[in-house]
Amino acid sequence: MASRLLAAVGAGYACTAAAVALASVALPLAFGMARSEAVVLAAMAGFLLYLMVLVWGFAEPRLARVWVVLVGGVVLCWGLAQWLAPLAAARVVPAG
Amino acid sequence: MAELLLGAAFAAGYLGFALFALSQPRHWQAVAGRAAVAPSRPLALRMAGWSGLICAFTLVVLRDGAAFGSILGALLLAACAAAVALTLSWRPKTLAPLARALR
Amino acid sequence: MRAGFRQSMTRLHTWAGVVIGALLFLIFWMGSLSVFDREVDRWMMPMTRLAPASASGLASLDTTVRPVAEQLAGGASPWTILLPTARVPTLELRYPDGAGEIVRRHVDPASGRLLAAAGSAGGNGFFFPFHYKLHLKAFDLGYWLVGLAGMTMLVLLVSGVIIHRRIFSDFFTFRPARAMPRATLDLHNLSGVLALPFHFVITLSGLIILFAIYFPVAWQTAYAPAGPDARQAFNREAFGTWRRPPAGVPGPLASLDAMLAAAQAQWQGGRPYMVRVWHPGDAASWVEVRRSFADDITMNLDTVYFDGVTGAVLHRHQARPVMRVQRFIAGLHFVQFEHWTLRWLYFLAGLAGCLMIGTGLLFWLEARRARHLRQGVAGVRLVEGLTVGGTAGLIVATLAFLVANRLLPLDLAARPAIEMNVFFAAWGVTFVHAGWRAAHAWREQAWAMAVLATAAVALNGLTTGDHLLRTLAAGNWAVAGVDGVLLLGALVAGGVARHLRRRGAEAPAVGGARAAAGGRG
Repeated sequence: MASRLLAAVGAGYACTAAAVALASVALPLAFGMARSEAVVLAAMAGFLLYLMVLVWGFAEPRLARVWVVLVGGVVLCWGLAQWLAPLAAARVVPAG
Repeated sequence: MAELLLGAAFAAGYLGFALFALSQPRHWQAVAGRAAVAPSRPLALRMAGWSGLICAFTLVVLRDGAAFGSILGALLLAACAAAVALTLSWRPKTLAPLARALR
Repeated sequence: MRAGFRQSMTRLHTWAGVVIGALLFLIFWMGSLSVFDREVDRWMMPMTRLAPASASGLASLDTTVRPVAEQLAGGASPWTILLPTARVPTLELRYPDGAGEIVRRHVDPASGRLLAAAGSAGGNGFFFPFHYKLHLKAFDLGYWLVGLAGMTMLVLLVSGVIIHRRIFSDFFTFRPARAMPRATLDLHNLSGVLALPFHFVITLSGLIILFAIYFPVAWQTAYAPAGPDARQAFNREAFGTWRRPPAGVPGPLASLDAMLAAAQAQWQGGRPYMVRVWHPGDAASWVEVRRSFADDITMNLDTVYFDGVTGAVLHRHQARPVMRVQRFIAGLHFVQFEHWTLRWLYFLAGLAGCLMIGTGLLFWLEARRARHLRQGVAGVRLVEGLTVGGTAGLIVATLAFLVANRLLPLDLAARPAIEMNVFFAAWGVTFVHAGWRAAHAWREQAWAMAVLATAAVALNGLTTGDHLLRTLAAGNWAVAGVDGVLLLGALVAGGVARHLRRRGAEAPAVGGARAAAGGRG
């Protein structure tokens, strides 16, 4: 089913990427972590998150639910990331 | 010394997996013969099996330290399990002495 | 387990495996070969078969490779100099030529003599890049395909465990005497389950290595304030890459050996493994020295930057904690540490992965063959041909590559490219052969493997004089190892070919149908 594939693989990646983007700006704000560290941590976790999204995307019987959750996730994470980005930028200390 | 530890670890791992295998009726019968009764204490065999694996893992960590030892342990145990599986497929009678000792 | 869940996981496992199986086999095959890429290099480049470097002193760069670099590379930036290791006995110089391609030349560290041009990409130049970017450069397509394959592999592993009904009771089960689909499935399960931790970690770690390519949104978002310099800023903070613009006026290059010694002192005795000279001959040139990770799993990012003219320390870098975790995970995958037992186990585990993927594809073919024949579905032959070519054919092509390496004259222009073309041509031939010979293709290509592998060993002995008895006696383990594995492979391939001939006498369709009905799950 092409729609299932598009949802799980395509929307799944978009949702995972949005979550990774959110983590990369939120982690420094929440834990005082350096920017580069947050990027690495978020990206590494992203692979595991994508794996879970993929398995769920193919296991969940209701295709509509998959689309709603994933697209909703993109919107939510991306929105939060955009909102937090200026805050993160303000506290960045220029690296030596 | 390092080679001795490695050899001992392989032996312990092989023995451990062999005990696991023998705790299953199918493999016990392949080794001990069709008429042989299934093992009466499979749980004890499995506990012994775990000891073999833990012993093997400990030996390689002693040999190479925590980091290298853990990785070597994981891969070595996979090799031991494969060796036991191949023994059971092609030369199951090799493990007959072990089965006799356990009866 | 709900019937619907198991069914959907079975469908997922089957279709993901069928679509990406051949690509996964390629990645695992090239990856397994890359574990011994340096040893393959010694075999393919006889002029580099020197005695291993002495463990004590550092090779002198100023007297050996530097005059060579000045003569060959001139002002081309950067000069990359790789110091000798236990696996690579030569100094290696890499520099960009006029067309932007990287030239690699080897220098004898003891005498400073420039060795003859290798005329071959070797294991490190062909097998290794094939493994992680498929030799496809446009739009990073190779990286993305490998990434897709990697994620699919993780999904295959998870779904495979979910649908395996008797994962513990069938832990040691292998029944070679049963009908092909049952025996094939047994082998698929065995090679998958026994090495499951390896398959999962090697796949995940491979993806993690390229995190900046696969999740660019991470650094793009976090470094958005840096605008167009976002990537550079991230590289600087994460990897420690340090740059400055060239001055445009000439300036002499200071002693590289002094810089090596200074770096070693900064690292309390840690040995350097690489030196990179940026804009040599420029007044604002700088030299990057990196620390070896031969004794660790973590691929440290310890770097010291020296001013090229004065030799003063400009910048030092060390990986931060989270980055160190990434470098440990990367190190698990790259296997650059010196540990021979582990290296061999990685190689065998990689081959187990190839076995798992190959038997998976084979099982699907065999389990479906009876059904497809009944339904009269066309394209069975095409799919079988593609499977044979993608697995057995790949191995045949690899061996043809090694044979070509021994047969092509050394002074041939573009010799490395010709070797690679032989690989791809041979691979193409195996697909054509598979399509033409159908059910006999497996057996015939197994024979081709046995013949080519034996020929490669014979040709090595004939063309270089380093036959197996001599390399074993001289302690030339790299070349002896490659010859040994080739001979062992030839024996296995021949055994498989004979086994397939015996099997061919049974009626495949009947056995397939019966086993397909009872052997699934």
